[in-house]
Amino acid sequence: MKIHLAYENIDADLWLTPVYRKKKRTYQTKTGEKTIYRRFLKFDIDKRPKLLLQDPKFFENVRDADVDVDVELTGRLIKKTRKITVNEDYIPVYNFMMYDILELPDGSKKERVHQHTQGNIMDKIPVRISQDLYDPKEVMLSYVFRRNLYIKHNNGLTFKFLYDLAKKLSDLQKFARVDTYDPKTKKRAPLALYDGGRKFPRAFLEGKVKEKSYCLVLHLSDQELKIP
Amino acid sequence: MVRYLKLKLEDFEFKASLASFSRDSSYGKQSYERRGEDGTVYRTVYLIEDGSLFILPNSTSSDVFDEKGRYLKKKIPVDEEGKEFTVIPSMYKSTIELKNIISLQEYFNYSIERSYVLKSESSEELTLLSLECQILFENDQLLKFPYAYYDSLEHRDAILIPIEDKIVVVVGRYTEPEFFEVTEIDYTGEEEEEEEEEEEEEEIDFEVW
Repeated sequence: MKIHLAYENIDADLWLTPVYRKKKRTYQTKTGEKTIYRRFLKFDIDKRPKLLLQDPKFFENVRDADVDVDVELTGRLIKKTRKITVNEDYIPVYNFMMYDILELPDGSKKERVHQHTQGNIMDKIPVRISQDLYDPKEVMLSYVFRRNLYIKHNNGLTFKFLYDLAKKLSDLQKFARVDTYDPKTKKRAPLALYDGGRKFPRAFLEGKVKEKSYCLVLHLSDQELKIP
Repeated sequence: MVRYLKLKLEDFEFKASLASFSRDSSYGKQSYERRGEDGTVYRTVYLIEDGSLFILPNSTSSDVFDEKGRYLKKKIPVDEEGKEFTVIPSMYKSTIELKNIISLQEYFNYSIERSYVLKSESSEELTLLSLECQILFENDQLLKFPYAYYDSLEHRDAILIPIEDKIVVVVGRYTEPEFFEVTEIDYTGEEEEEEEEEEEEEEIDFEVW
């Protein structure tokens, strides 16, 4: 992933890589042989949706329906699947509107026509490292950081740019606020790494140096550390 | 049903539970709906590869089989190098000694996945822990303990943060920070090699033939 980043009067396209990478896990047999994953059908779909639709009496319905396992379908191996939209009679529909529904903590609901998130880290307007510096303790007590990403150089010039930036932040022992902008309104907008991705309203940059190397971490937050 | 952790701070043992709070509980939960012109809510199903069947979300399962396609009752989880994973026992199975400390700098090496408030039937039970957390925090330190709701294969840490008179517990995964260096080109070495080559090789003529 790339990021168009600016600091003071310099801007550059840089690499962005996740800090945490999930360890790959596989399984072996008792004798150390390789295994394979298989996906299969769990139950008869003809009966289950009807039962689910009558939700308030779901358990009674299951008990009374005397559902038999369909031996033709249950356990059938499935490979790829394709997501489609259907009406209540399971007929595919192609003409529909998408809505965003927000269920608020007080139980009330809000809705709007779906707004597709646009990734905004590689726009013409760069992601800007602000001059506003924050105390790490203050940042830690204010936000929950869900995603951390390394900002990496791609040549000698960008190395110098990032090393100097990391050194400055490390010497000051501060985090810099990172802002993204809406290309239309030119106002601050939440950071979105890619189209349809999660929005992060706050981003901070942490810098560390060790001899001739640097570490710049972009901390992303979508939640304040507030007890509801 | 509330599950209680058995915590131990120095010689003092007490019970506490974790009450979850998330982005959804603070700002609301977002979902999507597909609707027709008349307002009918449509649903999403999955079409299998040969197009013969619709399946609803969560109506499939995955499991591990041997290479001949036989179901395995016992399977051993291994990493990329074939090394067996060690099972981390559930934190509810034994008493957790609160003695591991991390620095504030180390805190930022965690990717946070969940957030909780530590609760106890009597608030007095948490007073000592709250005080200890406050003192540590003033010195840029935080208490942590291994987090595993069930017996797990992957390691997570629960970190205790004192906020006002409460203790917030955030759960995340630690990653050792990576430092990046510039790739330096050793011109001296190349020049020396070139000089050697020049001695060995014949000079190229400008003539075509």
